[in-house]
Amino acid sequence: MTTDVENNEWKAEAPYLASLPRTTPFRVPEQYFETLPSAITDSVYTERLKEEVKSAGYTVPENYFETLQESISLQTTGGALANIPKIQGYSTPDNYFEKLQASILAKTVAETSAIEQGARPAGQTSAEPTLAPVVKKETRIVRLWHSDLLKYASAACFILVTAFGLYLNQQNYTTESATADIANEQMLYDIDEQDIIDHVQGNVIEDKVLVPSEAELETYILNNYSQNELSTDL
Amino acid sequence: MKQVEDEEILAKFSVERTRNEAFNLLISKYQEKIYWHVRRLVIDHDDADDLVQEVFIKVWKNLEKFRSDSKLYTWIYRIATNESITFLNKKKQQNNTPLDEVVEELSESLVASSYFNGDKIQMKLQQALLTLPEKQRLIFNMKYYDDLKYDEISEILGTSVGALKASFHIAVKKIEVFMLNEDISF
Repeated sequence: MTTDVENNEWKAEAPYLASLPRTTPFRVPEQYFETLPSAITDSVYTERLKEEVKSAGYTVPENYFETLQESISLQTTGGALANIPKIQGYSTPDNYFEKLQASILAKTVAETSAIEQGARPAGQTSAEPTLAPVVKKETRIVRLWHSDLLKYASAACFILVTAFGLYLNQQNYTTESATADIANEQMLYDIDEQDIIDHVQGNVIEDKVLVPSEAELETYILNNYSQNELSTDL
Repeated sequence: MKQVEDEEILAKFSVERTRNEAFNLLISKYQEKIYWHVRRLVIDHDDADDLVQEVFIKVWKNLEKFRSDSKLYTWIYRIATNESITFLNKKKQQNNTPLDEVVEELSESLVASSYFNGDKIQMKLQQALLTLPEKQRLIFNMKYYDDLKYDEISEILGTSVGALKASFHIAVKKIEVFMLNEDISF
């Protein structure tokens, strides 16, 4: 009774508020209060477990945490590289990559369509799809001689160069012959005259052919060949 | 279903063999009341869900030490109130925001909440409540929604009955003015 009076005395002071239904406008997810007890008991169990098993059983190397802070600060703030902002330093024209994509796409589309048109069999229209796209790459012909004038000029140059080479070679041979003659003359001039005479006479003596007499030949034959051999060969 | 008396719960909890059973009975009896008490203070369902679990963990840890010089439910309410106020204070400190911004944040989460099914008037009432100082809001909630007596609220909050009456009176007046004067613009 006291409670009712206590809880209703404010209604006179706030009639509008008193006229409103005293319902809580909040909702909860479906089946929330059905699952809440198990959630609470799970939380309580976990908490009890934490209290009962204080340590996780893991250990760390000695002075690990003392060195850990230093190691982390070295990796995060240490080193000159850490202070350099991570920017490339290069730049591209405005909207470069947007245009690049469009440009590549346009080129590939143009090339593909050119290939398709080149590979399309006769009588087939462009609307008909080819069964298998034939990639026929046209061989590029690079002409060695762009004009006849260049061709003939090159030939003339070749002949001139060859002729000049032969001429030089000939001149060289003539010079060499002249040089050899001068050298021979100089050598003869340097040799004693008597030596030359002796040399010539020696050669004449050596050139003499000894002619045997008939008697000597007959004796040689009779000594070296039998009568039988002589009768057979003659 | 007949609810178990607090004395029975406490008796069962004091015996090791029936401790878990007693605790399950306690949860079943108080979970909804505690949830709504917390929810009206922190507004967001997920925050309320976390806090309710924290509250019952504290109840489990300290129920052995509970002396019957106060009622069990006022004791649990006190834990829930303290947990909620601590949570709101932490929120203020974490964000380093003044009170009015915290109120604004709570108000925004109220509007954005998918777990709000009230009409515009009820939304306006919740907005009016958020304009109250924290203690007035607490007292109003316990009196208006939970129908607690002043001496029970006094036990929960550790405030005198006279101070509670004054606070509640001021809160009611402010809300009435807010409800009659402020435009509904949600």
